[in-house]
Amino acid sequence: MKKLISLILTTAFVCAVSVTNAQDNLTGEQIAQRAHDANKSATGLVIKGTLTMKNMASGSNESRSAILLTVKQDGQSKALIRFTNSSYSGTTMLTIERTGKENLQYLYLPSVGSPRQIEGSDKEKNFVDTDFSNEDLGGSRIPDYSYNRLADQNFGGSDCYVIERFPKSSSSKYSKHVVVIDKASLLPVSVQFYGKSGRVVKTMKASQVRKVGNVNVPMYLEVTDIEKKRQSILNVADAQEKKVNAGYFNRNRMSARWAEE
Amino acid sequence: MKTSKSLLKIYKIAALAFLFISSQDAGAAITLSGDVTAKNQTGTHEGEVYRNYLKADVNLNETFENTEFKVILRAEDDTMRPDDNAAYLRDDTGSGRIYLREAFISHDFYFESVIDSINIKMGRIIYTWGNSDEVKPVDIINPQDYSNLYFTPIQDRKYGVFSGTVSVFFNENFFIEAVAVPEFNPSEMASSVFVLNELETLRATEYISGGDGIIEQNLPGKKIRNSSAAGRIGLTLFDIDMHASYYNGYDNLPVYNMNLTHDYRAVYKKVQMFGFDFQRALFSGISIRGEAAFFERGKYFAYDSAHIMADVSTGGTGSVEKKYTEYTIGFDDQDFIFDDLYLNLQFHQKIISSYESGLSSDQYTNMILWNVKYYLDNKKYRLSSQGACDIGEKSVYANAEFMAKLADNFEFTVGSWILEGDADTSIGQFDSNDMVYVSGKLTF
Repeated sequence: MKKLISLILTTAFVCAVSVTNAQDNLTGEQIAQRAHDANKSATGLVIKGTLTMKNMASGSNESRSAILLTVKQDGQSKALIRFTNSSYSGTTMLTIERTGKENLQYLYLPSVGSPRQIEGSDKEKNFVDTDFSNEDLGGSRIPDYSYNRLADQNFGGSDCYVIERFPKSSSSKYSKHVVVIDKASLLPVSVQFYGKSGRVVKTMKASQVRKVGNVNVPMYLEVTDIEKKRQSILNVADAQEKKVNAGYFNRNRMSARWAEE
Repeated sequence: MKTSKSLLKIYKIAALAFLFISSQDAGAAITLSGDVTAKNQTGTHEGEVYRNYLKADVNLNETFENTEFKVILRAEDDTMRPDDNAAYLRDDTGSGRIYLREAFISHDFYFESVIDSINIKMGRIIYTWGNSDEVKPVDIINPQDYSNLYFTPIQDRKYGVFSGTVSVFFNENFFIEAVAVPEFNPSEMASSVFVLNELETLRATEYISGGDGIIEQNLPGKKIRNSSAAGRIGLTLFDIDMHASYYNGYDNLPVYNMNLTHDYRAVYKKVQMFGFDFQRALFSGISIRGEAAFFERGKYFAYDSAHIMADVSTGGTGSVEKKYTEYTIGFDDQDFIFDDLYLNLQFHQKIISSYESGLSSDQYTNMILWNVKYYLDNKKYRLSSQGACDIGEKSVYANAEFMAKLADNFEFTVGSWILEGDADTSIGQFDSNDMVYVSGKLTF
């Protein structure tokens, strides 16, 4: 009898989930694609903030200022991020999205004087000494993963999609990511990164979403490396949708100062 | 006395600069940044190397819409720089000096057409051409400070040159650039310790007039026709970033001429260089990069001691012009074998074309260069080694270093340099210059 009840409940649950998912008839990949295409400005987006790196074991903190410029041109995104103080001042990363190809990424270090092309498999590596990976900063591509949609959730009072994505690259250090995407803003508000061992090794949380022009911007972004006991927190102080010079997004201009700084 | 006066001058100018900045901070919003470095280098062979080096770089930077200005003011107090022997200096003898390392105005014109943007830049500019590391055959526009040989990173060795640049960016994959340099400044060879064998030989010879060991130098006249010009085309194709470059101008390193009247002179020759460089990220974190320079004219090579007088007696200058090729090719891996281990390996070759016996340089010079870094505790600490090995001459210079980032803006470093080889080799001549060093660098 117990088994029968259990079977009925399980069947009912699966049906309920299926119905929920079927309501919008979107697959995991379609949701990921929607989220990927959303919140990008053809005019340009300028975000300024403070990045704080915390060592959770020792309790030590380091903070530095950063500026992020993004623009969407011909359906493809371009992004620049730069540290504007500390010993990393001037360190700049450029990401150029390309149709059907790996994104092109460059890292400019003032001590080197010329931009260095970053290899595709470097995407999971951390940007300088932060816990943000190169991929977190604009290097993510839809075709790099296979997707599975999970049951929708209420997360922080908002209706959210939940998807699993599995890296296609065998060299990935993660077995899967579980991504919670806010239905209203289409922003990922939570990501859990599972290691090869099957345990969560890294998390990312976004909150305090604010509408800036036509896009939604999380004013608080937190990445926690559970294994290394470290945390990087981006507190956005200012975000504006404004025209950004397209010429900035050029590897040969990465040393130039921006008017937005 | 002279040193203390120079130092006083440095402090006064620095104080005035800070006062100026602090009075302007809110209104003009000029960005002030920079670094202060203090370093002691001590030879492990008695009396060979002793250097206390203090440097402050103050960077002023601001952008007004599409116009940027940048100024880097450098103040140095360097006990290795001699007070005399002005012949090898850039008119700034003495241990203390302040100079504009870089200062330029840059303006961008943006278009929404076949051309993305045009950038014009004027002033004292530091250029970075080429894609290899440290040994960069095409990166020849700026004179450099060789007073610490190659132990100072190349970006830090460069002096800005007064020049104008126009860059036309057609899109993110294609641009052209033209450079005009209407001044000449030689690279700095002055050093109380690292004296080249060639100079030692010349100084010791009876032919040095007056026997004072000073070699006069012929600098190009300050005329517009003595300007240097350069250009390059940048292209990204199949994800390969590449540049073809051209330079027609003065070599910043001299050729030593002699004649039968016993007159030795350091002469600066005009060279014509055709260059090419590239980089490409491959797989598993590996990137390859390289650059090559072909000097069609202007490169001179000295005869050895057995042949030099024969050349001079027949009206020669003791050196002969040869076509010359230099290239560096290599790869780097961000996580070699395991995470946070960086490996950079490069092969560098110099080739003298139409080689003739009796030259003091070999026809082929083959070097392997390395740079290995291992980061610990989220880049707070770094163990590293870099150096070069001349395969033909069997000589080597190598460094081992430990860096601790004591704060986000303060680095403390200890390390050593070792030079090994026979006395008649390009590296081995400095065999007695092994040293240990300690330094601190504060960034603001």
